[in-house]
Amino acid sequence: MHRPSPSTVALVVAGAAGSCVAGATTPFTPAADLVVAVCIGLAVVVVVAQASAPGSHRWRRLDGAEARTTLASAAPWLALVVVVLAWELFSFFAGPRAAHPTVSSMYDALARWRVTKAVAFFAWLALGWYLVRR
Amino acid sequence: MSALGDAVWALLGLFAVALWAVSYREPDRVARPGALVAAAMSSRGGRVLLLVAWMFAGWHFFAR
Repeated sequence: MHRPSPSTVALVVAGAAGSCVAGATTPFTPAADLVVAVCIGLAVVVVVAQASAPGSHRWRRLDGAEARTTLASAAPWLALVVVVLAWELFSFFAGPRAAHPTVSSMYDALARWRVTKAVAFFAWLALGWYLVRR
Repeated sequence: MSALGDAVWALLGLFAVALWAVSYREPDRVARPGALVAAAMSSRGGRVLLLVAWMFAGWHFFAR
């Protein structure tokens, strides 16, 4: 079985610790701003460091299923994104929120608990790490 | 009335799960999410767009 490297374990532990801190913050406070700004700042530093590394244009070549991605095979996902955005906009302007929930209001309902907010924050961090490493 | 809104979101979620499942059985018909992200990230514009979207989502949901 593949064992994660010590640096991966350290990153996951740091991310989990940061998520616990973020889960305890309240939106519209300096603490919440700081936690998110630090994570975004770190991502920017990593991306800039990758882009400016000597002789390494980090964007990798597509291979396998990635190379076979066509507009036709992407179309169902693009259609889903368009429908989600349209429904989100309709719900946002239709109101009231109880009758027309938006993604934000559904998230707010979940984020009442520290644990769920911390899990959501960890998922956001993981997605950011996935994007930065590609 | 919230039942309709909830039902539409649930349907959209189910559709996303169904697409995800089909993409693993027939990747030539429906692109896998990872392949889609890789294709988007292969250009500078797509890379910037996805990273900015990620940053906006974090700021919107967790800070504001």
